Amino acid sequence: MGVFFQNVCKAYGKFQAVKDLTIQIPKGSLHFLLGPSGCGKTTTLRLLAGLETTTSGKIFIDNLEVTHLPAAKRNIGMVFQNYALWPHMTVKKNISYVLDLQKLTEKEKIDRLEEALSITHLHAFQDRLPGQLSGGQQQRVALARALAIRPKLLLLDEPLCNLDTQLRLEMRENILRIHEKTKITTLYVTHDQKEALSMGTSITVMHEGSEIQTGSPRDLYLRPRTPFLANFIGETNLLPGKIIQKKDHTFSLETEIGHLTVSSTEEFQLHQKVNISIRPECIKLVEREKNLEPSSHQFTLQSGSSTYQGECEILQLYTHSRRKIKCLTFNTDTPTPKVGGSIECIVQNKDIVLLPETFAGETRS
Amino acid sequence: MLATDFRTSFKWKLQEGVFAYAIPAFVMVILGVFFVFPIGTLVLKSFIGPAGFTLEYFRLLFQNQLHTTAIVNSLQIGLYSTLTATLISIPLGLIHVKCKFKGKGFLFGLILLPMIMPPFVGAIGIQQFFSLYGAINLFLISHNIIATPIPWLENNHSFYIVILLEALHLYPILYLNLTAALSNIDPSLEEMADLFGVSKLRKLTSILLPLATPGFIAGATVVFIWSFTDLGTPLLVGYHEVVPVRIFNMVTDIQENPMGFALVFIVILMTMLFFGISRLTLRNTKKYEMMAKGHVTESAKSTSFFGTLLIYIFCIVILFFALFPHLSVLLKSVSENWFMTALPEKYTLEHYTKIFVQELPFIGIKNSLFYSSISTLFDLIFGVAIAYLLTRKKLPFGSLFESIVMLPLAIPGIVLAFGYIVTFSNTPLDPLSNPVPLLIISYGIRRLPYMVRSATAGLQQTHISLEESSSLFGASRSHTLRKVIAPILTANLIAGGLLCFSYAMLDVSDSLLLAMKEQFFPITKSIYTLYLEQGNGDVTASALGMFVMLLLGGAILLAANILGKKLGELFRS
Repeated sequence: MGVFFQNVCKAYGKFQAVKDLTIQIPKGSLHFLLGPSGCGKTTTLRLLAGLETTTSGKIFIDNLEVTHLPAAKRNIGMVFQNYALWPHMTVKKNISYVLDLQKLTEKEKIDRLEEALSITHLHAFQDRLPGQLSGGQQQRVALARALAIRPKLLLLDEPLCNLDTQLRLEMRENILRIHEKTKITTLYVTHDQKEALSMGTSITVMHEGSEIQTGSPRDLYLRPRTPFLANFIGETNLLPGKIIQKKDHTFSLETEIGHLTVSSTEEFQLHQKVNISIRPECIKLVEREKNLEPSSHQFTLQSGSSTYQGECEILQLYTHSRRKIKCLTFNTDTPTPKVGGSIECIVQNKDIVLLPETFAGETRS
Repeated sequence: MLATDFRTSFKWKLQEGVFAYAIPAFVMVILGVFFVFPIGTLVLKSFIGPAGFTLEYFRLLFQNQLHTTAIVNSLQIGLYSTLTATLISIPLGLIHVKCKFKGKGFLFGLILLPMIMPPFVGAIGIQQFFSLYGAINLFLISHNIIATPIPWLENNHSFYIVILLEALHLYPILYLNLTAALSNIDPSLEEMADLFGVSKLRKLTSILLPLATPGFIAGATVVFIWSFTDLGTPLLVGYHEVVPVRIFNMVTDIQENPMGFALVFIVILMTMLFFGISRLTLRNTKKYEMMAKGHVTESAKSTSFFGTLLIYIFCIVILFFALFPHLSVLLKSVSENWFMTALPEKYTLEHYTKIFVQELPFIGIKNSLFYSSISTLFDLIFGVAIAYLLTRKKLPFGSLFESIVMLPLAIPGIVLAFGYIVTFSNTPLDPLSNPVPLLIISYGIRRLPYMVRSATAGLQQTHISLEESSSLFGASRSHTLRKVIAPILTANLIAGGLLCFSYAMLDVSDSLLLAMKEQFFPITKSIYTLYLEQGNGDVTASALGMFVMLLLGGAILLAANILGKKLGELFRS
């Protein structure tokens, strides 16, 4: 196991920044901590780095407990949001300064410096001061410095958030390339779900100090376990419902869009109030009632406004109780439905995700 | 319709013109006549003999051992004072930034106190305590610790006393600059070092101090120049082998002895050199300014009980030594017949009533209040106008204008006063007949940079859009000035004004040199004259000194409260 948080808590006075956190991160993975600002993800990273001390719980790196180990002894490379480059040292000096602290021969130091500069393509800038570099270059220096000590663990705290969109895409590639090459277990903190979905081998979503769900990007998108998560990663339509029949893991529900049959691996009780989540792109518009397959569900909505976006069109639909339903159609030649008119929709049963009722205050089932 | 448009636009342009050209022009004329011209005259005269250009004066200067000793002594005083102040202010600065403990705000407010304690007043106290039959020796003798009195002030000891007095007076300037520089360092830079296992000491020497060096140098330059050119302290301590006292003594016979010019030129050269170095280092640091601050972590950590105790002891020891001379002045000012005893035998407040009854002290108070008020008013009006022009308008030659306005910071009072005497003797402004205009102008010009700094700081905090949005809503310029800018600037103006006023009240060199007739004496010259008087003069001088210190102590504490960290930046070159 690369990193293991065991029931870790961190409190600042009465404020609980991290609550009973348990995460396992496999060695060599590029793991994301994702969540809205203030959710405790940076605190978690700083706990792992040893910049903060835990209130309770244990932290392991490579199966060794490090909970009370000082930061310097953990062999961690870190990139801060603002890069924290020492502004009075050149690029080369920033890197060799940390190499000087390691027990290395002169030859090794030179090799490491060389390696760090070349993996981040920084040779041309080695004699510049950080203030003379662009944001992307500074970011690479910070990365080079973190990698130079050959850390067991690389921690990235919102490393791309100070860069513009174009550069951000470029740096994503860069980080992926470096991770691919070094295979260092990497923990990446971000609030940008696109970054997490597109780059991560696994993701932990956090909310108000707690872990909500950990899994692969696909897992999190397709099988969210809470309404918060369904809403946080991607967009979704949430509808309340009630379980009226239950057979093993197949549930019959009563909802605003009719009776649904949904299967779920999670546990739900008979008569329990629940939510269902349907992604906008899973709702298909149909011309008229066809012979319906039993694996799909057809329902009628009222159409509202629409936004044409070229490759797709976003439709605003309404249930009979005026609840908004968003629908995404891809490059169809179906004409935009008339505002106020009725419209027929189909959703595959497998695309309906059954969720508990709780929304805020998220307690894991 | 067109006509009114034309009229309003003409009126507008006129206003703009008055603002953008007339004010700088007026300031330039004042600075030209009362700053550049006298200094220029001094410089020229030091190179021009009866037969044109000559270096003869410098040759004579460096051949005369009296002068060379004075130069060496003054440089040493400057250097050692700066070193001593550094030793005091580095720990103070680090404690301020790194430690959190009970009573910190109060303690560090007190730490600033010595800055406004005029060292030349302290010198009076030094005499009382350290003279051959002063309090210290008498105390030691009466307790049988020594048999014969120790000659504290004899030999070269007064040299060290001057250094101590200067360092203990000026360290707050260094400390303020250092604190500002240290707290500007992003805490994440240190955290990063922690991650890599950089030791505390190495962190201090390789990251914190290098990054704080420019701020340190800015403060150190001021301390060096001020102690190098201070007239009052060596004069009253009785250590006369220094450049400022030499210049002071040469004023009277300057028409016959042109060596004074050469000596003043050396002082100008020195100050320019050091301020030049300081400016260069500050410019270099611009390269260090870079990214946004990171994850906000407070770098100050709660200090243990033991640590807090040590901090208190350190600060109190420093305060004790810094305020010791002034305490003795206080003691002296309430003593009755303090003679040949360690402590006064009787106490009285009589001397304080005397300062309002006797002629000399009262003249001093009255004159100084008048001169300083007028000069502060001058600073306020022009300081704000200049700051506004510098921050809000694109002036032609803006940066040149700024450097000239800031130049008086670099020129010691003694040089300017000397220049005035040389330039304006036998003119309607002759200080011998009436020094009032020159006193007010020199007070004003020398403190103008503080006001400009203070107002600029305020204006830079407020974005121009605040004004623009006000005028977009149709507010007139004066309305915007009154309703938007003035309220925002008030704090800075009060603080800047208080500083200008205090330093004008405390001015020694201009006052001592320019005011030659008793009726025009400012307070500092009254104190000096009283001190030299036979009989009870020094006691009255002490009471008068205490009175000024109380007045200014209140003023500066107020300014420090209003300006906070910005106070240090006012003292940069």
